[in-house]
Amino acid sequence: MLRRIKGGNKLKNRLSGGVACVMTAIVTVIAFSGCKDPGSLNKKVSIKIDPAMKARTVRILKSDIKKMLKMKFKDASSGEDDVITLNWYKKVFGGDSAVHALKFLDERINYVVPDGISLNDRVRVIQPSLAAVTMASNIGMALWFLQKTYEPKRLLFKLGKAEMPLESSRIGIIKLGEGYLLGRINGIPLNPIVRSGILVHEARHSDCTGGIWKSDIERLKSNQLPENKMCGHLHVMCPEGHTMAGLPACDAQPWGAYSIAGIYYGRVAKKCMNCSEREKQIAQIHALEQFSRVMPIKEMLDGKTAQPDMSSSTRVMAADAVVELKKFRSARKADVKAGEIEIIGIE
Amino acid sequence: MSKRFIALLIVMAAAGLAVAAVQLFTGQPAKDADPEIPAAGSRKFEAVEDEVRRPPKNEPAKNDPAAADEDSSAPTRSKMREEAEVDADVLPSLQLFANKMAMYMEQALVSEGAARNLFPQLAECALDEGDRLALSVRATCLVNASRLSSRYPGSFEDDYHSLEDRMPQDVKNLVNALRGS
Repeated sequence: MLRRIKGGNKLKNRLSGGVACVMTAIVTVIAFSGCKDPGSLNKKVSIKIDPAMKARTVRILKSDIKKMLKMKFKDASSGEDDVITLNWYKKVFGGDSAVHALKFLDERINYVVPDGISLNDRVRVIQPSLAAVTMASNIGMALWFLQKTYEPKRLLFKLGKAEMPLESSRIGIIKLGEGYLLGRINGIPLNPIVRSGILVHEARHSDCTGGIWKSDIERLKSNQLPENKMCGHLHVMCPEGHTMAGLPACDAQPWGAYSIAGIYYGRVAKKCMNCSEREKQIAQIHALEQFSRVMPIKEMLDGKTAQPDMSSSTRVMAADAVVELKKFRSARKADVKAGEIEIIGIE
Repeated sequence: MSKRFIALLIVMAAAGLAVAAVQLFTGQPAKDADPEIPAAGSRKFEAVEDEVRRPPKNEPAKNDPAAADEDSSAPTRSKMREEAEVDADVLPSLQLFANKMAMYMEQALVSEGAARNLFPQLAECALDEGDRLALSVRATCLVNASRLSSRYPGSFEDDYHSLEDRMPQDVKNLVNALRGS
């Protein structure tokens, strides 16, 4: 079972290497009381489920993955709307099919844990500031931030018998809320399309685009939220006049979790051939709602933003270096537009 | 090897065969094995979906969308905000509204008479002169009006274009983002 866990072999080697002295420096984040191995969700994905997860929730999750596997999309160019052919979906997910969205999930969600586990209590013992880090239910990202504040000490995340080092934001640990666990919110059953969209949204929080700022590690140490929202694609407070004004439910940057989930829902709404009208309507309204939380949506539509960067980095960057790099890049772009520099090949 | 030990082996083998036989006839995997996902449309799959729909024992079923007409009108901004304060990313009222809208759209896409009833309601929702609705709700009404216009161009094309002209840019941006997906 350990072999199927990403990074499992690396960890195994490390632990069997007899580095006992290092163990004293390791803080273990104990998340699970059980000793069972984590369960596999599906043969096509490597997502692991905490042994403490209820059977009902596992069935719900499996049916959601199944739904994603079964959806068939029309060719992107065959739309009833020939207004815009931005094809954001392909740019974000790397392909046109529903399986590409599933692959996106698989790369960013590795472990699913239930809400009932008192993870926050246990982690708070180590670092009281964690509760202040608001990022939906992607606790992997929060734990990785915690790891950065603890370096050179290493944190381990315990899942059943296995212990995973928090080496990257892509550790991908998702805590499912009560709504997901029960499959309903306020007595209203959530459609599998909504649930799969929630996973897509959470998966994007696993990406630390461009690396983490050194100054943000210092901020985290002093119980402040990171300034750079691209690492973890953190939400910001919605502006005055917005329906969600004052709630941390908006994205200040393009291609964040709201954009990506909006694009996923949008593709289901517009192109799913084997979805019911009900599923399409659900996908449609959720796409529109997600897009309404993206502050630079107009700039994205006008092509004034950079192409989506779906990579993730563990690099620690000095904030001023990042600003300088941005300035340099935009200056070069301006030079190219002005025809002063002919670029033969970049990157 | 004693006779007692051989007898024990026979009993154990028989028990193993019995388990295998039960699995063979019922199609159910062993209790601890990872069960395969049932195929969509199969009775097993429907059972999973039913389980999701069925409220837990201590929860009444009154909010089931199939029976909740009163909850399916366009959700107001205040209602959505109230829900977002619990969980910003899951707004059940949106799903209820979409459920109801699907029912109306299914009828309207096959019956021009039904479309004639629905189009003015969609236009009213999209324009939202009372300023009660969120942009996403207005945008979904506009998209649905657009679909009816494409389905019955002779009846709604002009009305739709006039509606679209009156929409604020913020709503149009959302619709364009949906199309850009």
